[in-house]
Amino acid sequence: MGKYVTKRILLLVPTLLIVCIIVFALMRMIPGSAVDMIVYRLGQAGQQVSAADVEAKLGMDKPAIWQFFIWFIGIFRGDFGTSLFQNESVLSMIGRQLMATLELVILTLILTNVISIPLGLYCAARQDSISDYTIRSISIVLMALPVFWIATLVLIYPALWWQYAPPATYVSFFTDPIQNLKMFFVPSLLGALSQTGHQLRTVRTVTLETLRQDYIRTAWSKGIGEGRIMLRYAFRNAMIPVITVIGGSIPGLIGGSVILENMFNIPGIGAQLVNSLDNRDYPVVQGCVLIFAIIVMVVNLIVDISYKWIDPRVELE
Amino acid sequence: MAEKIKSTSVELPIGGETKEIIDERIKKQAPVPKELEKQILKVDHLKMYFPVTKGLLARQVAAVKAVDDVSFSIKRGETLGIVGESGSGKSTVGNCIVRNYNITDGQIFYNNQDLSKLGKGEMRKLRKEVQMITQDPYASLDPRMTISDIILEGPRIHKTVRGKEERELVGQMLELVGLNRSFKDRHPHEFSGGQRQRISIARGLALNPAFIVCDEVVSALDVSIQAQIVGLLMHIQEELDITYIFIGHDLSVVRHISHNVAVMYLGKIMELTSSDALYKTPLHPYTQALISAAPIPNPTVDRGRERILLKGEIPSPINPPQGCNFCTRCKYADEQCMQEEPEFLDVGGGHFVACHKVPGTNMKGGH
Amino acid sequence: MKDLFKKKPMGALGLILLALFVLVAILADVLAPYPMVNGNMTVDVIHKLEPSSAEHLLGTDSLGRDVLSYLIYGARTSVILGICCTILSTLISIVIGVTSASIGGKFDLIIQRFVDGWQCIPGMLILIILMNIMGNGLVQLILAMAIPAGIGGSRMIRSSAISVKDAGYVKMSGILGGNVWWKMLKHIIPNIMPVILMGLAGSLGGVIMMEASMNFLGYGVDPGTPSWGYMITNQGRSNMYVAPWLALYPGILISIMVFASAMFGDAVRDLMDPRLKGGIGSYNSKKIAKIAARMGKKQTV
Repeated sequence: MGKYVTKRILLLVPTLLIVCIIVFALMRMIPGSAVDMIVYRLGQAGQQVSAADVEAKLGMDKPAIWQFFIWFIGIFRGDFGTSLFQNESVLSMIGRQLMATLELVILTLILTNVISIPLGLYCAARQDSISDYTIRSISIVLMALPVFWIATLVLIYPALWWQYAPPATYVSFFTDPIQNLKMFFVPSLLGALSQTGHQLRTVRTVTLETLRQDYIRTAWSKGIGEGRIMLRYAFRNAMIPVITVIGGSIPGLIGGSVILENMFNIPGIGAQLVNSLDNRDYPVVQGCVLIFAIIVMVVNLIVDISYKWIDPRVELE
Repeated sequence: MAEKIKSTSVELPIGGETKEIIDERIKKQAPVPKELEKQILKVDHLKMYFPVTKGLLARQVAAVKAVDDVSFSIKRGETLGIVGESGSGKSTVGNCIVRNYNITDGQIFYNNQDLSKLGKGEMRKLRKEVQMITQDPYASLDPRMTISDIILEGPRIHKTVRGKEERELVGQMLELVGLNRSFKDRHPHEFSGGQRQRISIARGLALNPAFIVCDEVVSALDVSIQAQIVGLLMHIQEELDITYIFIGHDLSVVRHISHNVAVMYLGKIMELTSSDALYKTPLHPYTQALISAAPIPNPTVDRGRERILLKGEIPSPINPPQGCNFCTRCKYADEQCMQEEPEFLDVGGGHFVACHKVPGTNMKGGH
Repeated sequence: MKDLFKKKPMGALGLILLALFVLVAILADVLAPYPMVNGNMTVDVIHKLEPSSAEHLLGTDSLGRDVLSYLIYGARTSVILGICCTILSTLISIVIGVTSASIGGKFDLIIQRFVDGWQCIPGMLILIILMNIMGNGLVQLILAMAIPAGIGGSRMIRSSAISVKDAGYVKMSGILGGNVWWKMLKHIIPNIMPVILMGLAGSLGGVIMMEASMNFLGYGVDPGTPSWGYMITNQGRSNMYVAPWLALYPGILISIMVFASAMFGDAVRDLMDPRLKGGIGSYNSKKIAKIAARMGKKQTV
């Protein structure tokens, strides 16, 4: 088991390399260079500099491949570069915003699973009943509602009716949990809606398949009660594919966080990314995307490992 | 055509038209140089080793010696049967001849052309002459294609027929294998195993080959169906003068259709001779065991005879014994058998054996 | 097809709805009360942000455009986007997946690593970056959405291609003389058609959603082209105190379209899923009778 884990961690490195290459290449393809931006801005502030000077100072006059390697090696030392616009290291900038995004994602995850798993199991147990149909229909509808639209409606109508506005300033969870949750609850709920719809159906399908298995039938005929069957036997086996689905939903959640952060004034990485993108602040954008990618890779790794751990039939390769 | 009718008594509806077309095809088959009119295939010291790899970078640590120095030749219009148990390498020999694998060593001469040296393009051209039919009637037919498309796949690749001729060809092929012409628009799943093998045979024949490798073509079928298919193959051989290699594990079936039989064990040929001689005078201990294992239709005789039971386990093809491959199970094995590999020699009348204990291989006495 | 209507009424409903949207899209010029002139919507500066009236059934927006017409043309944008994107992304998936599986070896390995890496980057981010690279516009949006979707979908196609490529009939095709391309076109792709169709049917909804999100963020089509997502941001949110209903209508339409395609995709998937065919649950008396009849008629070779 340990060997497998180490092997998987080592395999992350080439994937990381490829991710970095993709991110770097994409960044460089964006028209309009940061240098021009900087020259322009400084010019507006009264400072006349030449593009060449700026380039040299930022180390951007070196060939692209060289720049890439410097950046890539830097990552392993924890150095993600420095922002081109703010005098801060990318890492510390990201660190600041990461908490907010993580909180949003985690809350969304919790809400999703708390709703979808029990309901999904329930639907599977009461297949084709009225409640089953109702819940399924609702979940499909939930999946179809665009997040940003609901968010817009949530922002508009309560404002109109009750003069409600989401809190504008960010307060860390550890400082003031209530205030913090006031800010995060609504966006998390919204983000969870569509994912819940999707996951509920998956849980239901998977549980149904599991329930068809012979060993469940044996348990039935032994007289074991329904509740116990569900919890002890069906649940465990059904959860394996569900874990994959949860893991696979993370990239989507991160994408969703970009929108939600934008709308609810949450100072997260998504918001940071959009800002820096407008500024062509390469290091920051690269850093943000990279962090997200790393989170996804880590989550995949955890999912894979827990797979092997839960299901003894799966071979440890 | 041939005087000796070897086929069984299955009546195949071959109409008048088809007979003409058959004659046509025989004329159209690839011409063979005069000297080699007789010998169409010659296999020389064929070796096929499959690498065993380990680790992330797939280093080769060992080799599975599937075929280990096999040599034989076949005359045109005849059938060479290859028998052996699972793992003996018989299917691999067939696959090597058709160039499904890149052989490790040795040469395969088809009409005096070395197949092993041919490039992909040239080999492709040769596919019109050398074809193969495989064991599994369920996996070898594309479930999404109609019978007509299946049969026409070869001709379409090589562009041997055009337009209206396609329909005719399909009809002829179906008739040749004893199926109704109307089947051409159906799909494989609508047919039984035996019918599918017939379709496979029709497909193999569509390119008008001179040489067909039949790899365990009847092994997956019921015994009665086996008889029909074998009969069909023999009939086709007579009519179209096709050469076969017939691979199987049932000695009685193989022997029926073959002129000569090679007995393989663990990648080597143990005995090679005419099918009659094999039954009348089996020389190799392994052959004797195989024959004794095959049931005889007459129950009295069957019960009365002595069975040769093989002791021991079949060795691993990765690590074959140093001496004779069969030494671990042979009841005549001695020191020499364990140490020295026996040569594959002709002990008289084209009867080849690889065994130390057979008189004529070395003068150390018989068994 | 008949199965769809008999067994999966919801899926049939989805198909009908989608067909309706397509129809509206095609007939936009005819249906819209205030059709586009020279590629631009008519602007009535006097009647801005008016609620429903006799002339403007759903009111007007901040530029005086008729909301109903805008929505109808928005349908056209969504439909074009949806169809083009789905087809393009499926093609990309097939090309990547099937060639990768068929050629195998080092080629496959490299492509797989690339796809792995690509998958790690959240889709929304890639879209934003790609739109930044290419600029706004319909064609750009189609490309930007199709490429990541195509790469992502190649996984599924590749794994089904792998399961097919070692089949007996593929080997036989080689023995008959077929080369890699022949095998791909004639054997592998036809046999993974169910998977391809499943992917096609289901992805339309996702595409619409993505398009709306992109337009919402401001990265989508240029402002001149009518788009539902754009309307939500631009009109709805900006004018929320004056004309909050402007945010309502486009969202409803988006939801309906996504819903329809989800239903349809589900139905197609269910019908084509080989696991669900002939499973214990799906036997009924008619089917058993059919099988029995076939067995009785079977020839003995």
